[in-house]
Amino acid sequence: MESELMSAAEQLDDWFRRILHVSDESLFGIVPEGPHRDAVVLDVLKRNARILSQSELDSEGKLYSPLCFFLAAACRKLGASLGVGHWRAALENVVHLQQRVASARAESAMVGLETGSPAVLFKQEFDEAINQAALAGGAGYLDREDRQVALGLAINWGVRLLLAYAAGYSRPVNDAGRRDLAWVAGLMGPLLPASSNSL
Amino acid sequence: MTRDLAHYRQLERRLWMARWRSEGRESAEEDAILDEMEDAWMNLAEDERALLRLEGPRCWPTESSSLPPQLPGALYSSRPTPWAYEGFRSPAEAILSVEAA
Repeated sequence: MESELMSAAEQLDDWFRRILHVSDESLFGIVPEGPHRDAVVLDVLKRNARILSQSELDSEGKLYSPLCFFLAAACRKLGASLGVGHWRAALENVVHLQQRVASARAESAMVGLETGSPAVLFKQEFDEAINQAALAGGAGYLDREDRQVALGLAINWGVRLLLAYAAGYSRPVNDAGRRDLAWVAGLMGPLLPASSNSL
Repeated sequence: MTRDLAHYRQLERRLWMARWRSEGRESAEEDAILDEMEDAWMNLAEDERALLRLEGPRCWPTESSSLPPQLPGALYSSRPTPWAYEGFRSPAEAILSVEAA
């Protein structure tokens, strides 16, 4: 399991570098580096945060693009980069939570409670972080430093949400060369318990 | 929340951020924050220390069992500061500065 997690983390790290490159070229690159570029990054960040916070989870992959653009803009806004260690930790977190949710499902049903899948739980944490960071339209009360922590938390939960969301995506890989949500789902599949259902 | 506990919480958040940025690996930034936390710990009241001990580890972003940092509640926060286009004053000023150049 250890080597599988590490291999998946390395592949995700490579994949996210491409996401950053594409975002830089297509979204942020419409204006030159400097204050105007920073303004575009902030707009992308807020727009996608709003889309994500107003959206329900689905199994069709509708949140894939906004989530990727959010992560790319948030990393750029913070001047932070995601590395293999971040992906490795996120994978482990998602796999553990899948196992715990699967084992608790029968018990929670016995008392009539629906605690939600890992994707639901991570979405709740993600939504809370972007609310605290004042990115989803509400009023913010944090100072600059704490807002950056909230944004760091949003990236942290967003990465986990992406992986858990991918685990619930059922469409097959159409093109072996494509690295999209189906590809992420394919990466997650062997790591998860057979009975898990992400949404 | 006392000022000392609020300060300790702030240091916890800095620690989480430093560890998160360096993927959980040790860093000089982390060492400096830990030193500061050690001093701040000495200023805490015994019941505040007991509370923190009960919470368990909070600042290990690469540990799935670790709690995230606690952000301040609205009651304890400073004045609101909106996200700003930093370094960007207004479209008119930007146009004027380009024209002047």
